[in-house]
Order: sequence, then structure tokens, then C-alpha cells
Amino acid sequence: MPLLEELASPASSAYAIATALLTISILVSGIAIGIGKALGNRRIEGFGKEELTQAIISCALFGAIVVLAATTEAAAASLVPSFSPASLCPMLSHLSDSPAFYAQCNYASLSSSSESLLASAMKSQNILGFLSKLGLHLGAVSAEPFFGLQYAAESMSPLISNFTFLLSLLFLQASFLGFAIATAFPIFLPAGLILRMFFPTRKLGGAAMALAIGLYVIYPLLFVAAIPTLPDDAASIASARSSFDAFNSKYSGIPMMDLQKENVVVQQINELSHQDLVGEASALVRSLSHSNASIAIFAILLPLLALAAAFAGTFALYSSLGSEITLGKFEII
Amino acid sequence: MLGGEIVAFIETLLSGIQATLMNIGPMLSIILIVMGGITYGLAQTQAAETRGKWQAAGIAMFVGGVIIAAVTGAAALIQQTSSKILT
Repeated sequence: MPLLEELASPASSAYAIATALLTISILVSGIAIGIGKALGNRRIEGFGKEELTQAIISCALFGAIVVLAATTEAAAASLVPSFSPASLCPMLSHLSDSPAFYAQCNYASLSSSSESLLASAMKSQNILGFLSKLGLHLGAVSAEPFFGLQYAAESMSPLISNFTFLLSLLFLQASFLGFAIATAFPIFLPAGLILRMFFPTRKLGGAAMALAIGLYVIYPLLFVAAIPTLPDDAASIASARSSFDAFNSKYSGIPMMDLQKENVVVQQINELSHQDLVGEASALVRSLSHSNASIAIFAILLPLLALAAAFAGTFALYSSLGSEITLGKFEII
Repeated sequence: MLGGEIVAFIETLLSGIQATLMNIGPMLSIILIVMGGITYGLAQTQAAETRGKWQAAGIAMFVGGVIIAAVTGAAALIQQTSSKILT
């Protein structure tokens, strides 16, 4: 059972630990107030009063989190746009999915389509490389009629390397979101709440709670906001893939031709010379460049911006949750 | 995920601490109330210029004892009631 659900269940160990910590906190504060009063020591009395206030606030937060455990998913899900313009995830067409689930699924789909494109691009590069080296040696004369394609094949190499790097970043992003889903609300939030209940671990607890909210809610929000641009990028990747696939199916037989039979090679070269191979190759390079740019936004730019936003949000939450929540703050409000 | 022997150990440890504090609270309370009464009684034997101090100390001990008794006695109730503030 996830810790969050466990915390909400009165029969569980987590619930017993939380209530025991709260009661201990109240007992310590009561004894400190009494002893401070009896000895006339204002520091001990002040500590007791402060601790009692914090214990009551922690109790209130604990009660709220127990209710939140049942409504968390629904609350986070309300942040996903209801119009859901063109999600890459067919299973995420309803509203019961949180931004983190939504982002993770879209990243997984984007990675999958990019992976297919990468495979097709590698095949095309192999064909172009083969064609560029295809030559005839007729006695004293030798010719490589498609040598010009070497430039296209060489241009494709760094693009493919770059695309592979971006693809690994997409996988990393999907894994990171999976980590956030698996740990933020089920582990960090309740653990933070328990740690926040006791004064020696209050800051640590506040940090854990802030991290949970930052990871699960703030971090994927930017991706949710960027969803409207996703269909265009996904379409450009799909279009590039279909171009590569068309090229591959058109010329897939060339590397397999029988090179021992000279007349077959000559005939093939003759047929190919009527094709606009350079034009097709440059179109492939262009579409791969476009795809690189498309996924760079989702692999580098958005995660960096989301990380900055999540860091700022988490830090602000930590400042509030990690410090003593006093009545003075409510008086200011 | 919390689970296993460590959680059981923490739970037992916290229950032990809670039970100890629950036992210490009333004892401290009674000690302070009795000491407060003794101090207040002794105050009557003091000279007029120091009697006030003794009386104040006695009353402070008595009040401290009452506060400890009240808070420790109602700790579980405070915890349960506070948990419902935000819900």
C-alpha cells in the first residue's frame, strides 16, 4: 500500500507513528510550559508555547493530508486541460490523470515515435553511403556517378548522433517523471508530514513536503502548458519518418544487388541516374534537421524551464513549510 | 514504503516514549502542586518583605502543575480535535 494511503488508514503503522509523534509533541510542550511557569523561566515556557502551536498546526495538516490522500489525484488532475487538444496518449483522454502522468505518457509516446524515426534514418544513411561509393571500373576509366551523395550521408551522421542524444534525453525525462509519480506523493509527502511534526526534523519535513509538491504538481505543469505545440512537432516527426520509410522502401534493394554481375550494376546505375537522388537526399537531411529541432524543445528547453520553475516553487514552499508557521503570519493576512 | 521490522521498532519506540510522558506528566503535576502548596505555606512564615516572592513562587508552581495536568491529560483529545481543524 503506498505510504500516502497508509497514512490515511487508521489501522496502519504510518497512522500510528504520525498520531504518536503528534501526541508526544503535545505532551512535551505541555510539560515545558508547566515547568517553565513553575521555575519562572520564560525561555522554557516560550519553547513550550511555540511547540504547542506547531503541534496543533501539524495536527491540522495531518488531518488535511488524510483527506487529501483521497482527493489528491482529482485535485492534480484538474490541472490537465479538459480540451486535451491532441494528446499523443489515447489512454489519457479522460480527466482523471494528473499532469505528471499526462507528461510522462506524452514523453513516452514522443520517444517511441522518435525511436522509429532514428531507425529509419539510420537505414537511409546506410543506403546513401552505399550509393555514394557505388562505382564502375572500365579498364583505364573509373567512375562513381553518385559520389555527390556522400555529402548527404556525411551530413546525416552528426544529425543522427544529435538525434540519438536527444532521444536519450526524452527517455530520461520519461523516467524522471515516472520517478516523480512513484515517489513524490506516495512517499515524500507523507514522510515530510511525519518529519515536520517533530521540532528537530521540522525543516527536513518541510523540504520533503515542498519537494513532493514541486515534483508532482509544479514540474509537469509547464509540459501541460506546452501541449498545444506538441501535435505540430509530433506531426513533423511522423512526416519525417514517412519520408525516410518511402526512401528506404524505394531503394532498399540496392545494397542487396549482386555486385559480381557487372551488367546488373550497370543497369542499376542507369536506372538510378534518372532519379533525383540528390534532391531526395537533401529532403531527408532537411526533415531530419527539422525533427531534431522539434524534439530539442521537449528534450532540452522545456525540461530546463520546468526544472527552474519547480526549483523556484519548491524553494518558496520550503520557506513556508520548513519554518515555524506562527499565528503572526495569519495576522498579516 | 514503510514496512517491516524498522517500522514496527519505530512504532514501539514512539508508543513507549508516549506512555512514559503520559506517566511523567501527572507525577510532575502532583509534585509541582504539592511543592507549590508547601512553598505557599512556608511563605506565611517569612518576613513581610520576602513573603510576596515566596507566595508568587508557590502560585507559579501550582499553576505550572495544573497546566501540565491539563495538557498531558487532554493531549490525545487536543490531537484529535486539531486534526479536524482544516477538514
